[in-house]
Amino acid sequence: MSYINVKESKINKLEYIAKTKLNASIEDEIRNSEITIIPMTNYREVKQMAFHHGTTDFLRFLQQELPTSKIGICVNDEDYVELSLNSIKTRISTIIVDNLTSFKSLVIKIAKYIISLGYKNVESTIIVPTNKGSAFELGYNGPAGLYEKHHAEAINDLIKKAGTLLEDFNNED
Amino acid sequence: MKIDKIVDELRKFPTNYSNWQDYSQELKLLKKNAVDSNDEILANWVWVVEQINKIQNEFLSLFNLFKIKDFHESWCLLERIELKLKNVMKLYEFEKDEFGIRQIEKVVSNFQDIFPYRLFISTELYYKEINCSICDAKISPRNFCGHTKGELYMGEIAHHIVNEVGEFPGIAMVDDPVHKYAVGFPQGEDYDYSLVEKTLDKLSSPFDDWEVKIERKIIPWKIFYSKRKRKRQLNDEIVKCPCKSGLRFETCCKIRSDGIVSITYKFKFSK
Repeated sequence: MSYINVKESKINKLEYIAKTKLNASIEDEIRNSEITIIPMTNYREVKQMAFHHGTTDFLRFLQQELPTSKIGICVNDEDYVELSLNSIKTRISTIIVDNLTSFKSLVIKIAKYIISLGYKNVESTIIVPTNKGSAFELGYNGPAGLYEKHHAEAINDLIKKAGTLLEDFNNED
Repeated sequence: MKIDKIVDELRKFPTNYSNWQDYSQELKLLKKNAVDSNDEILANWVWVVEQINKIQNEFLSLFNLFKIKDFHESWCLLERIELKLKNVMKLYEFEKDEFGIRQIEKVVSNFQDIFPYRLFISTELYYKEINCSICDAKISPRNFCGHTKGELYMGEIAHHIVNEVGEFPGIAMVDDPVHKYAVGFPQGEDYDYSLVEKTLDKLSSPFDDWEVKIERKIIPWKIFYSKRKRKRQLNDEIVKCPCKSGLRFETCCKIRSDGIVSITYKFKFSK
């Protein structure tokens, strides 16, 4: 049983840079980031940009664990809002990953993060851009213990199936 | 009173628990002195001892609440003990039987498993302003105040305080809640606490060793109804919920989308 759902996606960084009306310096930071956390925009049809509860802790964790990676969060500090769903399951805010190396390290670190918090289940979405401007979305909803394994399998399948679409993404490795 | 003396007393738990003492005032003073003399290591150790003292005392209070059959308050106290246990166990590694903590953890978890609560209210909220409990700095992505949630600073545990909430996108009914206290109480109905009462009858002291194994299944509606009669007829006939919560079927499992809860308990008492 796979806990990952892979589908095509229209999400891209530029769209979020525009949506979040970033300050100039933050916009540069996001354009250059390899791992970008983006907000949800329309949860239960409430027009409020927000990140899942605990995103600042998650961001700090990633920055400590991946000190050489460029990690960004697509929001101005003054606009930062969290959505708390008070759920037993941990939810990671959606992340856009620019290359395969970053994808692999990110998945390992997310798994470590979830386990360090003691959560059993996790829900996350990782966006993988293609060289044609579109993207694939890897949505995970399942046990924390299988997070890394299922992502590794899913990305390998995706690279095989998507072929040249993921050329840039693949070549980064 | 010195901290070592209090620690020695707390280590005796649970022997002589009927004359157990609360050291919270002494510990408060010890922590104040440690903070005043800028001794962070001592202040943090006093925090750990404070938590142990609170857990032991709350555990004993739990059985007083059980005696007067205040079950919902007991349930809330179980959750408060569970949270304190989680916080302190992240910061101090308890050896087996040390301070009676492992036994308390087991008993608390066992009691939580046998309560009849099935559905809980879970609120969804936007947090617009969050501040650090230690320095009051506003939490934002690019300004890290230096205090990590769950760590100790001068005898206080760091956490986030929500100072402004935004819209309220929804309320969900869940069966595995973060906030266990948020039990749904349908008007004019009460839960069936007989399993908790029968378990308490079997115990000669709060520290008796006992175990409960639980098999919890969700029987999908299709199977539940196919094994019985026609759906409409059955809905009219069932008054008490088959999940044995004590509530009416209408206000209990019938509102679930996935099916009916079926739970089997297997108990093992040492005495």
